[in-house]
Amino acid sequence: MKCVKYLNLFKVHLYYLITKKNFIVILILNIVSVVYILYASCIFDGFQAIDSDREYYKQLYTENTFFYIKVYYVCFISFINISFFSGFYSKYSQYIIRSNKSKIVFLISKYISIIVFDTIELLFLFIVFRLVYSLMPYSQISFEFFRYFFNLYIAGIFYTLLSSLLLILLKTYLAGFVSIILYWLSFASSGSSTVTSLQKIVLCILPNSISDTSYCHFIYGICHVLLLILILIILNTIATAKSDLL
Amino acid sequence: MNITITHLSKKYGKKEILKDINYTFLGSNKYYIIGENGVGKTSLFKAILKQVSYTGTIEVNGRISYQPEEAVFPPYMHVISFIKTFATLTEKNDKIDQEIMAYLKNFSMEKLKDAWLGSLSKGQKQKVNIIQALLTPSEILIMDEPFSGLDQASKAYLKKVLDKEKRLILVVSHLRDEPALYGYKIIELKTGEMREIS
Repeated sequence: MKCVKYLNLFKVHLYYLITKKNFIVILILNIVSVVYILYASCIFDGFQAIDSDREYYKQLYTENTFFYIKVYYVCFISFINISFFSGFYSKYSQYIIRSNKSKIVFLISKYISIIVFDTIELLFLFIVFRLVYSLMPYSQISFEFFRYFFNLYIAGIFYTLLSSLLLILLKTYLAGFVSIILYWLSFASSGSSTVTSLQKIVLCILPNSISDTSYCHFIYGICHVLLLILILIILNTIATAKSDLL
Repeated sequence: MNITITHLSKKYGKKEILKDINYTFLGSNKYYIIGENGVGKTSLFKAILKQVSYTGTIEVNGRISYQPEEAVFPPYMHVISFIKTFATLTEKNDKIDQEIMAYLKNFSMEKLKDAWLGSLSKGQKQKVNIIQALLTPSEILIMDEPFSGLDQASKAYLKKVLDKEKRLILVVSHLRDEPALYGYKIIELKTGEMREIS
């Protein structure tokens, strides 16, 4: 019975996520990501003739596409998180009262439902990328390919957990943006290891440890945060306009 | 089941909405809280529900079922699924299907049981909002403007349902002439103060 109750709780979370606005944003993001992956593979295909540079362009393509997937994935989970945060006090406070559940139970079930959403999305992306990649001649699926997606997934889970904790601490809409900034700085600024990147940020903040590299990463991260917020605002505006028309 | 309020004050910025309120809502009584718009009726409820910060203490003895003034529903969830999900989240109820259908029938919503919540009109949403609150297992029932947006037949039916309720009921309205007014203890909120009137 308890299991059924938690499943119900989870079901309601998913239903709250399914809105026209969310659907439009996710659709736009998905179309853009598929187009990008295909476009990048076409460019790569053009270089196939030059045998000596094949490996170089293959690496270039993989790195670029990996980077794009990272940008896309951050946009996706940020949007899902924000759509939870933005309605917290209006719809979710009602929801907690309605269900006679504590805020902790609510947050845990929210966390699980976001992870399920993230998993589905990343699997979709993985399949598209894998298909395109396998169509290309000379391509080999390396261990790095799987490791990359796995790292991305772990970072997504970490980020979602961070957002949930911030929600408890800050209790405002601001929590969403602060968590995006932290996530972006920690993850998108360099490499795929969240912990390593976080260390770089900490090193950068400490006055005695400022180095050229960490400073660059920090500025780079800030620029990406601003870009991400801009993308989200644009997407939000488009989705609101479109969902009003539907 | 009771709610004890001691020295409750609530401010929004510099404006004091509720001023040192002391009151106990007792047992299975029914209370009707009236007052003009903006006197702090909803703030009082939100304080009881721990949804806003305040000074003073509020002790709540019992589970609360709440009908908000404006409900936010998941747009692509079916009416029956929504009500059933919340009604059975905390307690098992074998008769829930019959109970839901009875309420839907009496609120003239029977044909809309499989409709998406997002497709309902304001009045229909209000009915779902009320049914959900009535069916949530609790000892205390708090309703914020329940008669607002209802047709006459539904108002009369709701009054009948509330009259039969054994729970501690708090109903808020800015109107004095709503049907549930009669037979209730009337509490008036005015300039931040609360008093029982005859």
